Amino acid sequence: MALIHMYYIILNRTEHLIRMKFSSEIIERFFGGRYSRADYMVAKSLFTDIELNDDLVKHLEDHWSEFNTEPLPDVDTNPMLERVHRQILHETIPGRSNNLLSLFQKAAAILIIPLLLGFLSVFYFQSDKKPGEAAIAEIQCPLGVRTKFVLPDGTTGFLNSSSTLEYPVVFGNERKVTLMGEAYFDVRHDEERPFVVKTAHLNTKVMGTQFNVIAYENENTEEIILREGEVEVYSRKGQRLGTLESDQKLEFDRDNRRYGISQVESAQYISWTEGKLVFRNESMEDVARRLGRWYNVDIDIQDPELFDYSFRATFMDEPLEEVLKLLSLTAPMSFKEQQRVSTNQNLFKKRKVILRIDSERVNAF
Amino acid sequence: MKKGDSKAFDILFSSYGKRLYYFAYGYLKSTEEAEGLVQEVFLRIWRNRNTLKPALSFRAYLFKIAYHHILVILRQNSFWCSYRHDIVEENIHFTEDMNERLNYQMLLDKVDAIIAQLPPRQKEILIKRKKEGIPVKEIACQLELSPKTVENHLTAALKKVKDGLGEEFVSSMFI
Repeated sequence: MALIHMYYIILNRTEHLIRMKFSSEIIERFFGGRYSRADYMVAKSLFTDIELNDDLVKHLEDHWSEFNTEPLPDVDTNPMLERVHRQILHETIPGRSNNLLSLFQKAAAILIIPLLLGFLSVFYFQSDKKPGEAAIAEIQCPLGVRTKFVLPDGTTGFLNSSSTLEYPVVFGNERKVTLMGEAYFDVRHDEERPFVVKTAHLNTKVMGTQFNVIAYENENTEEIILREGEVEVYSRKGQRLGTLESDQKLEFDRDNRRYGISQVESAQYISWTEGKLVFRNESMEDVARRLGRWYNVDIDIQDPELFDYSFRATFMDEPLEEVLKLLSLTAPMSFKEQQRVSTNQNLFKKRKVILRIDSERVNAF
Repeated sequence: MKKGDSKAFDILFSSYGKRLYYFAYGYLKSTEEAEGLVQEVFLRIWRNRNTLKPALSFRAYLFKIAYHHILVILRQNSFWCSYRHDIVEENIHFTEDMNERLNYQMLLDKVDAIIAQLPPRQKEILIKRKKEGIPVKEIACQLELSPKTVENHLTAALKKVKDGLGEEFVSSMFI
């Protein structure tokens, strides 16, 4: 009962944070540097909510236009200007090749025109037979299985265990696909038609690059990991959240609607496509979550002390018992698989493994 | 400036650079971030100088770019979760009254000031542990010290932080 009550309070609190009402006084205090911790919490929740508050946007615009008339303290901005100059100089040195390039571009444009005309006419004559818009294909990947896929535009990739990918049989101006679960995409480059992966809360937009998306329905985070190039991440309503560069990860927390970008080793997130299970300084929690997905098993960490340990390992085609045995060698951990119970419909429940701290070995680590 | 005139660029910078800096600083609360932002915004203006529309007010144009960059920083949860908050949280028990009336910015500044005054080794270890989140064992490897020594430095550093954030100081922080 007490537990339920606590849960209720926590829920209520997050609810309270999410629906934080806009208050220009609080934002003004925050800006001015004389703000309380309560003000700080409001500002944080207003700025980090996945959908920006309209009043906040308006406030910032107004603030900027007023701000131009306020007197300001002195600050030496010359070093900043110098750094900008240095960067500009740096960028304009290879300028000659730029000019050469633009010459090529002009030449190429002239050559392309007849080609374009030809293409357009084909398009024109074909346009009366419109492709049915509703033709959607779906790839489903069952638990414990990986699938390689090829999309109509030549984009390839892998779909991980227990995931679904939906895509139109014919792509329109935008190449839009919808993902539930985890997938790796190697997107065919096409400047004209951006490739967009829709997940429950995020839209990831790319021109052509390699990246991994994790958005399982039953988990409370969505992750996008970029291997190479650049991807732009938006909320489902089109708020731009940021641009990822190589080896960066954006993690979105569905519960509190917040997100963060961090530097990662992308290889470890992509190795699953080769059947490898790679951990690079990964926390116990993440390891348990990934093992659970990989082997279709529930993993329960019973002792919070275990959260302090992180792991570095690579496994290939190892049974779960072997993986757990090896992990136990690098941390004071013991594991036990629960007897599988069958339900009254004679179905066996999911496997369950319990991890505990091995207190006798704690000092050895 | 459209013609690639760098003098015109400097004039724009001198009339808007400072304002942009203070605007950004107010929201980002870090001189480093604010400086980086001013540079980034003006660099972008230089790069896009060929597409500048004379009809559009430069102030509005500048805001558009600046706003976008400030938001990208502010919208990341990591920006708001700096280690200073953790340190404050660990050392001060906030009552409702304190939540409402304590000057939080001064508290954060105080944490910075205390850390700045720590002996170099303690400071280095505290920052590695708290800011960069490196485990004690790894810090020990990096600095070629025993984990025990690292632990001792850390404890001493945290003790100084705790003393610095004592009741007497906190009560002087009420708005």
